[in-house]
This record gives sequence, C-alpha cells and structure tokens, in this order.
Amino acid sequence: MRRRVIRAVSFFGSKQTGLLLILSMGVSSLLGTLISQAPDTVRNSPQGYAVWLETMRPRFGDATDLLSQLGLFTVFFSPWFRAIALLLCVSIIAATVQRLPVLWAHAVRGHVAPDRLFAQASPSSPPSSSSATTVMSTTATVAETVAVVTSTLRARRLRVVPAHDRSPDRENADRPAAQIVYADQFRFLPLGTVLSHASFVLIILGVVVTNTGGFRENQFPVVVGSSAAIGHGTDLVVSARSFTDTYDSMGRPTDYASELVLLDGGHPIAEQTVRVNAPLRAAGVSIHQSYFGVAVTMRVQDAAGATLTEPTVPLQWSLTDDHSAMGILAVPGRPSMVYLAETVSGRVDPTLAPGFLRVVVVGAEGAQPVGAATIAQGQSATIDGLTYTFVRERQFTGLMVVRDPGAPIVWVGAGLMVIGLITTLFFRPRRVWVEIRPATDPAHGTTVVLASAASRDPSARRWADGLAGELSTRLAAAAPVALAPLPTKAGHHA
Amino acid sequence: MLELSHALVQAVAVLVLGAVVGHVKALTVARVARHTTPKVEEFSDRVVPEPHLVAAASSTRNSATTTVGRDTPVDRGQAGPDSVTDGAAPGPVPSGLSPTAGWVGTVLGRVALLVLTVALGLRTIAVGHAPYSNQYEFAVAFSWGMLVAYAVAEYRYRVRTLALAVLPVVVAMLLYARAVGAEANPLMPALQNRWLLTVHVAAAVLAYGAAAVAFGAAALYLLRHRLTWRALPSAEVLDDLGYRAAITAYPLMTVMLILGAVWADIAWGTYWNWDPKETAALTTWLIYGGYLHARVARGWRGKRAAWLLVVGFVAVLFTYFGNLFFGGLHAYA
Ligand code: HEM
Repeated sequence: MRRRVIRAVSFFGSKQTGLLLILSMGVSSLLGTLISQAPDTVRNSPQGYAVWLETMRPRFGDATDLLSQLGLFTVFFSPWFRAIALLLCVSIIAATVQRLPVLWAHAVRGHVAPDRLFAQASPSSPPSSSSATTVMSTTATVAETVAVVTSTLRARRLRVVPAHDRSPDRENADRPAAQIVYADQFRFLPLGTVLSHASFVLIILGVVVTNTGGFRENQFPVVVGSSAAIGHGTDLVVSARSFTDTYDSMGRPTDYASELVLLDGGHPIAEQTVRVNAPLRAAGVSIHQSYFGVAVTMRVQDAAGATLTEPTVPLQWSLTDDHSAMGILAVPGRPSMVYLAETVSGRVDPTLAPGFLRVVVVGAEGAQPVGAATIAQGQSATIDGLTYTFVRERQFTGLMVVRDPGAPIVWVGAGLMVIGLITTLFFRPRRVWVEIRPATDPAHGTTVVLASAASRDPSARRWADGLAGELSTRLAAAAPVALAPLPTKAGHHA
Repeated sequence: MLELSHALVQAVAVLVLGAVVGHVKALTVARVARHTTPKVEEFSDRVVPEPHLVAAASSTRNSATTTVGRDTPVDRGQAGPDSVTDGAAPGPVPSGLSPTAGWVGTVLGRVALLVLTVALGLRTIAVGHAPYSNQYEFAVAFSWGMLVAYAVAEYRYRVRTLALAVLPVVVAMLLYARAVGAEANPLMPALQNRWLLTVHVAAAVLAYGAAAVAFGAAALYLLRHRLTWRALPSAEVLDDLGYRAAITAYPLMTVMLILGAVWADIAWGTYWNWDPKETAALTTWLIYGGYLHARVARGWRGKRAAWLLVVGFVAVLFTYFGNLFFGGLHAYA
C-alpha cells in the first residue's frame, strides 16, 4: 500500500506528467474556443440543447452527433475536462509533497555543501552539468583568503555563513582539510513555487464552491416602480425606482443606470444607482445591471367582467428574428399561456407596427395557439372567453442577482499566484560554496574552489562567473604575486 | 489631435519598415562577408574581456556552461558574436560586415517607439481614456508593446537579428490598424471602468509584446541551423532570451487574466464566463505555463520548448484576432 502511494506520488508529481496535464488542459480549452459551445441556457435543458444542436448540424454535418457525444459542445462542463482539472490538482499536490522537503532543506540547511560539488572540481573527475565550478589559486594564506572571500560575498549583499571546516567523511578522507564559506541570497524564495502551485489548487477549489454553493439569477427583471423578491431562502426584495439609458448623438449607448433599493424583511438595507460597472453588493448578494426592456401591464377579465389578474409582464425574451421582444403571462387557475410580443424600439417589423402588442393564447405550454389579436395601448381583445386589456407600457430593468461564496477563495488564490510568480520568476536565489584549502603543491599556495548551485537559469551561471572574476581580482589585490597556472583536465579559460 | 496621432502611427509603420530594411541589409552584407571574415570564435575571444584570474583560471564546467558564460552578452561591455557583427561591441569589427546598416535599424526602431508613444499619448488625451477601446486602439497599443519589448531585448542582449522576427509582426499589426480605421468610439457601458481598462489592457499589451520577443527568439533558435547569417546569436543566447521574455510575459498574462476576472465579476457578476476571448486567453496562458515546465522537464528542453513559444505566440495572435471570427463561430458571441 505504502509503496503504491509512493509510486503514485512520484508518477503524478513528475514534471512530465505535470507538463502533459497542463498541455492537455491547453488543448481542451483550445477546442472549447474553436468549437461553438452550447450557451448556459441551452446546456441545462435537454430539449433546448436538442434544438440548439440542430443549428450546428449545417456546419458540422455528420460529425455533429459524435462531437456532441464527446462533449465537445460543452467542453468546460464535460466529465473529461473536469477530470483533467482534478488530475492537475493531484499532480500539483504530489509534486509539492515531493519537492517541499528539498526546497525547505535548501533554504535552511543550504550551507552544508554537497561534497560532489567539490569532488568534481578535482582535476581527475569529469565535468558535471549539475553545477558551475571555478578553481583558482592564490599566494595568500588560507586565513587571508577566507577573509577576502567573506568580504567579497558580503559586499554583494549575500548572507554569509562563517567559514567552517569541511566535515570529514569517507569521501573526503583522502583530501586535505579545508574551510568552507557558504553564502546565499533570497534563500526562501524558491518556496514561492509552492505558493504559485498551491494557488492553482485553491482557485480550482473556489470554482467548485462557486458551482455548488450560492445561486445566480441571470435574468431578474424588475419593473420600474415595483419590487421583486430574490427568493433562494432569503427575505431580500429588490425595488427599482428608476431606469435610465443614455445614448450619444450617433445612437450608441453610453450609460445604463438603475436606482435600486434592497430590502431585507421589508427594511431597506442598501440603496444605490447600479450601473454596468457598479453593482450593488450587500447582504452577501451582488446585483448587477444586465439588460432592460419594455414591460406591459395587462388586465385579464372573465366573461362576467371580473378581473382575474393585472400583472406587469416584462417582455424580456427576444424572438429569433431579433425584431420583437416577448413575455409570457400565466393566468391564475388556467392552463393556458399568453404570449405577448412587441416590436423592439428602433426595429422594423412589417407584421407588427410599433406601439402594438400581439397577444397569442395557447391552450398550454407548447400547444397550438387557440387565438390571437393585435392591440394598441388602451384596447382590449377577447380570446377564448377571456378579455385581455393592454393597460399601459412600462420599463423594466434587467438585473442579475448572484450569491457566490467561491469568489473570495478564487481571489485569495489569484493573489497568492501573483505573489508566487513574482517571487519565483523575478528574483533569483543565489547559493555559493567556496572551498579554501592549502594547495597540494606548495608552489601554488592556497586553492580556492568556487561552486554554485545547479540551476537551469543561465543568469545563475553568469552571476557565478561574475563572482569568480571579482573574487580573483580581489585575491590578486590581496596577494599580487603571480603563480603558475593550475593544471586541470577540463576546458581552459581563454 | 486624433488625426495627428493617426498620422504619427502611420509614420511609425514606415519607420519600423525602415528598421527592418536596415537590419536585413546589415545581415545580407554579413552573409556575403561570410567567407572573407574569420570565424566568430576566433575574434570573439578578443572581444570578451579576459577573466581576471589571479594566477590561473580553469573551468571544469561542461561545454554548454562554458559557452553560455562567454557568449551571453548581458553586461553592456561584454559582447557576443551578434554584437560583434553589428559593430556595437567594444572589440574590433571584422572587415566586410556592415555596422552602419544595423545601427540605422536600431535607431529607426527606437525612434519608432518614441513616436508611437507620443501618438498613443495624444490619442489618450483626445479620447479621454487609455487607448484600448476598439480594435484600432488595441492594435496600435499591441504594436507599442512589441516595440517596447523588442527595444529592451535588443538593448540588453544586443541581438539585432531578432528584429527580423519581431518587427515584421509590428508592421503587419500597424497595417491592420490602418485597415480597421482610426475612428474613436465612446466607451460602451461595459468598458467604463477606468483603472481596470487601463491596467488590464496594459498588462495584456506588455505581455503580448514580451511574447512576440519570445517568439522571435524561439523562431531563430529553431531556424538557426538552416540560416547562413553570420550574425546569428548562439543557441544558448536565443534560448536564454526566449526564457527571459517568457518569464516576463507569463506573470503579466496572469495579472491580465486575474484583472479580467475581477472586471467580469464587477460587470457581469461572474469571474469566469467561458466566453471565447477569455478561453483563448486561458489557452495562451496554459501554453506559456507548459513552456516554463517544459524547460525543467527531461526530454522537453531545447527544441520542443522553443516550439511551445512559437505555438504560444500563435495563440496570442489568435486571442487577439479571435473577435473577428468568434462572432462567426459562436452563436452567442
Ligand atoms: C497550471 C498550474 C501551474 C502553475 C501556474 C505553475 C507554475 C509554475 C511556475 C511559475 C514555475 C517556475 C518556473 C521557472 O522557474 O521557470 C513552476 C515550476 C515547476 N512546476 Fe509548476 N505550475 C503549474 C502546474 C504544475 C504541475 C501540474 C506540476 C506537476 C508536476 C508542476 C511542477 C512543477 C515543478 C516540478 C517545477 C520546478 C520547480 C522548481 O524548480 O522549483 N507544476 N511551476
């Protein structure tokens, strides 16, 4: 069991697995961009989806059904996309579990020099790609060299761990005693990768919370001068005092604004002019300006003249031709549905003159019409035994009401991600070990071996080169007697 | 003021074109000179300052490390083969190369950046908001981002060859801007959020500019062995430059995405809508994330990583131009 867990962790935590998962998610989201995705309203209704799918058929032909079965019209809600996101999180967690101890050890116990760093600096061993090493020698004594090295490193604002003896062990048994000076800078910053990785998991978690908790009403029309209850277990009511839409001289919209009051249990708790970029946030919900339109007040009377209902119906759906707006009126106690349509202002519809309302009565939802009439404001029509009067026209403001408990988690994740990226990508940790020992051949005085930590970042090697150059200049100034070059096997400078 | 700004933008297109010509000229002269000049390695040793090692200096690093250490011109005093060819290095300029043409290219490029900055400034004043509210304004701003990123890369790395991969994109973008027309629109209600508009799009512009430089470096990296130009920087310099550009682009893209989400949350009540533009931007972000990981994953370093930078920039352009055809692809766009 334990071994299986270890194997799973090393599989999911491997860089290749992580990379493949990241790229899979990239390919999936590319597919979701290239292929039309079913809109939210359609996705949640099987009939709606079926109708929508037909509109795709001319484009995708015979492949339409296959694409649909593969979830390619609903990529971001498909099980496989969710699986990729989940595996990505698993991979990130596994990689972190594996690497965190190493990163931590580097940060707090970095001064313990890995012996291989210096072992390879000996002339006989082959060069290694894991680190940059420079060997130089000076006539200065070991103590003087240690002082020069320490001050050089301090001048570069590195944190210097004072010189200490190299720990004697088997590997070093045949090598002379040496002093090690260790220095580093930004040693905790590599932990920033943990932050940027954890933040991704946090963001996914936030998305899950958004999708499972809270609620959202994308279409929440409130007729100007009246109120509407938010519901969803709250006592919140939105009252719209006014709505204004402003246009420039060319007829382009410049502003939409609703004056709203939010009431909780009948008491006003917030009041604001809501605009597209200024939602009202109170009592854990946010109310956004989304759309607007015309509402009609209709009076419905029975044959005896008694008023059955007198609602104001927002015409909030646009018909497929985009010329007219439509609303639905349900008569209490009757199975019939009444469809009301008006031409959208500014559009021309040859079948429906501006200012007129088309009333279509159907027996039940989806059934054939039982009668229809076109009436102007103030007029009535009797259809199927009921009299419909177009009392007046009003305006409604279309709001969006959202309670999203996941959003704060996403924002925390986003903040951590930025901090993590800045710490890992903009600052580079530096770690160097300098070994100072008497040269094997006394004619060469003191040998200095400078080793820096392995890094895939070329700037680290340039930095190490620069440091080596500076160190040699300073050593030269401290002990200006030239010595013969040290023989080494690997490539010579110059 | 709008007309003046637009005229300046057009002048910039000409300047950038001039810069490209200058750089091409510098290179072709260098190519003709290929057989008459000494090998780069021979004279680059004279250019690179000798390390001041006390008594002796030797390196036991692998050969790649050694190459990077020597050929990567970070400090302005230190120069690699490319700068040698361009004549900007403190060392001797081999006969037969054309320092002037390359220098003219550099100067034109910088003047273009300056003029474009002025043009954008004028437009900002004229329209009263950061110039990012339509395709024209964003195309011009995108060009500006690429010029900034290119200028920084050229200055820091002395890699003028990069101009041939990056500046034509700038010219194309400016021509596109010209084609869509410079008309100014009032800010539609959804865009009326001054600081978000400014910061969100500024991050995008700079990110995409850096992405263009990363693309240029990666393209040259991949084409290196086919090109006969003497002035090509070493594979290590190009790899390093691509990486630097990508790690500049990536956090900026992250900030752009996050601010986009903040904005969507304000305007549309949801931080993420899976709208095509958002999704395309996410794809781009994932590709660059893939690149960062490719550089640390075995079997993915080098060419494959460079390909990811090329694909990433295609994704950037797709994200940018996407609006033009998402409309056709997406029923609801
Ligand atoms: C999409 C989510 C991810 C983001 C935003 C992210 C971010 C980053 C960043 C910014 C770096 C630093 C790169 C550099 O220094 O050049 C990095 C490195 C790394 N990432 Fe990720 N990563 C993600 C997913 C993953 C996954 C799924 C794995 C699983 C294996 C992973 C494993 C690693 C490893 C091992 C490193 C090298 C770390 C080091 O050297 O300290 N990452 N990541």
